[in-house]
Amino acid sequence: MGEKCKALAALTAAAMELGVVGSVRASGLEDTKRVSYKYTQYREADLPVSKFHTENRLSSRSRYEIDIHQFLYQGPISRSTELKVSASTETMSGASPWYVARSSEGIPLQVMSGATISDSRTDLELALRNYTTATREYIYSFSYSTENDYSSLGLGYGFSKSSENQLHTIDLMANGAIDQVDATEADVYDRKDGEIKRSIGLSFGFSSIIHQNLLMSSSINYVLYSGYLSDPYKLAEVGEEGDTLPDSRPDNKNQFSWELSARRYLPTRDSALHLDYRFYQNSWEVESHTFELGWYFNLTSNWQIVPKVRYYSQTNAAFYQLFYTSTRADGYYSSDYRLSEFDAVSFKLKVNRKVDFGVFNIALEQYNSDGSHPGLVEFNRLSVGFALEFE
Amino acid sequence: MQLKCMLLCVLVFTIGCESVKPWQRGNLARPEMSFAPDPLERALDEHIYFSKEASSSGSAISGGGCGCN
Repeated sequence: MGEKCKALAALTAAAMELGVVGSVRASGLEDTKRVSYKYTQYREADLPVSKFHTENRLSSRSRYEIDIHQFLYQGPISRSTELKVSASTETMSGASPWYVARSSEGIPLQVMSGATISDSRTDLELALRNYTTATREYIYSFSYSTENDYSSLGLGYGFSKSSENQLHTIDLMANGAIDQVDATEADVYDRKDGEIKRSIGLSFGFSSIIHQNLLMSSSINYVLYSGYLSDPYKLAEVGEEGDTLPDSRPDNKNQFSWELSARRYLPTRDSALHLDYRFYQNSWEVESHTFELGWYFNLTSNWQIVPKVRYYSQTNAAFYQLFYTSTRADGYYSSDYRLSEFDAVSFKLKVNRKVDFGVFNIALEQYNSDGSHPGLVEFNRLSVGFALEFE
Repeated sequence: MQLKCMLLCVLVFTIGCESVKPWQRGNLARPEMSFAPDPLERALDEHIYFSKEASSSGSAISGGGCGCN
């Protein structure tokens, strides 16, 4: 493949992987097939004793441990169509935050479930990309995931058009999903069973070559959720007597996000800087900012190191409280730490070893969060994988 | 504020572009200049952060399921 085609194909691939943004395949379909695999160990830190409510005998401080296998195949199936198949499996065990209780001194402490939770999840995604001309592309996608208590079915349709000089690309994408929640032990704990959640999303993206060492892309995204949006496994403490009620959230949620990405190549250092920002807000009054900075540094022609830092900050949902001193008129209750106000910082280091037919990689991430909720999570993640290319 | 940032972004995209010829795009073709050099890593990033935070990216609608609480 010539340098010209490589440049165009790289821009295309780069932009497509952003999701809706930039699906330019200006030079048409590539002949190369790609196979990738990754194994990940995800480990959450035990809940600190100082934040743990010990009165429930079944409660455990040992949080989730998850092992994940991911597979990806990408290649042409005709002169104008490319198939992308991705699948993943997860097996998990550990304890999960249940509700927040007050100690005798009024300090919020996390009540956990038992450590006997065990589940597995399988995910399959198919995408067809049809290149009708050198500058126009249509995308059709299908996804399905299932676990013991949850299943999801999704469909997507997208359109991409690039300018004749290949400097700019616009993308439109629409997708929808229908999920079913079947909480385990629904009879024993009076949990919801057979509840439905629906989602419809629209995205508009724009990507450009700014100059010969700089790419930028931006997108705006809107998603409407409706149906059962609560967590069937969580409770909230309500009233002075310490009574608990099931987690209950509004049955609709609108969310908006704006994403901006830049990729800057530094010729003198043979490296590339990655900068990503996302603004997010939803109708539950959660607002967040996410910044991510990465540096892809080529140590030699075969070795590359990639340090990354990610900062995340969110406000709490309007109806969220650690615990409720009285009942609410709207009936909404949630003490879920994910709806609380918090900041999180994660550091990641990745090493890539290039070979003639692809790349092998290993990565380590440490994620820490900080806020007033006792159940906020800390985790680390170790991944090893490879990506192979062949004609 | 967000609207101003978005408009500024559009200005940068449209006015700031040089006419980069195809033969000048060698650096842009490098794998590390991809928006997502490792698609599996990106997919898992989105899945984990979506599971542990209240936000999600625009493309995280499909696939569903949390896998963990």
